[in-house]
Amino acid sequence: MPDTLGQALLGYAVFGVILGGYVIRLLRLWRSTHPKPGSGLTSSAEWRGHAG
Amino acid sequence: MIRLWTFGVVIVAMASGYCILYVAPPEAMQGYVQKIFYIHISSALSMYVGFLSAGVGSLLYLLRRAEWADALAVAGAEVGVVFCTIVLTTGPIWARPIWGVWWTWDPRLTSTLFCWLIFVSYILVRHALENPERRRLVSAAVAIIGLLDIPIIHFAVKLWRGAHPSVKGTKDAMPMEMYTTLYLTMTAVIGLATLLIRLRYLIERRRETGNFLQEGMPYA
Repeated sequence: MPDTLGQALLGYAVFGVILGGYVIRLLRLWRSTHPKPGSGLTSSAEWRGHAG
Repeated sequence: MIRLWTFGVVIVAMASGYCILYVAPPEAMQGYVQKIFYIHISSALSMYVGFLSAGVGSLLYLLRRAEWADALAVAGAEVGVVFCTIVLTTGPIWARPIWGVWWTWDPRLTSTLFCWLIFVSYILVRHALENPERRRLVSAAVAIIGLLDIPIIHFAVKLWRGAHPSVKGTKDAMPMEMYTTLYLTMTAVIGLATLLIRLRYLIERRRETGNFLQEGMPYA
């Protein structure tokens, strides 16, 4: 059996980085468009400042 | 509902990870790199889900001018591009030790790259055009061009014989442990893709209908 463990790990690392990066971006967008009540993040000026 | 769906995806993803590590055996001829197979195929199917959502959403927008359909198209296109990027990067990593090359202009690889370029153009159009009506119309047209490429990707292996292997028709080619791992990973990754599409859809709807936009909030 050929030693291809390094390539397998690289494949899974790429998968994790791309997907993880997108999930983080989406969560930041979610927080900026769905502010919690009382957080004060309601005006468009504040929204711009917090948008990812 | 979103929380329950997320919980389900996490549970299935953990089971999938366990199977990839401990249950599925390494392939005799390829070694451990063959384990990329599980995420590669699952990401390809998730890419289909994303791009089909984008295409169907765009068609519905053109027919009914419904803003929710446009939001669905945006969500599908973005998630589709993410999974298409995964397919286009994990594929060459897998191919290098097996085929001896990172890339070959095989029909399936080429049509997938073409589809990625179309939907990246879609996202660029969304950012470039400021007039909302014009932005929706032009991007819907781009998504429909991308939708036409989906059957070409899917049937490329059958229509033109290239280097890319066909998954269909290989039912007895793998042991049951590999099939179990594949189906678990497919469930987890497609479940995650639908969750991401749902979240992105809700964000887009809020952007379109929320107070922020009415106060002059730019799209991007």
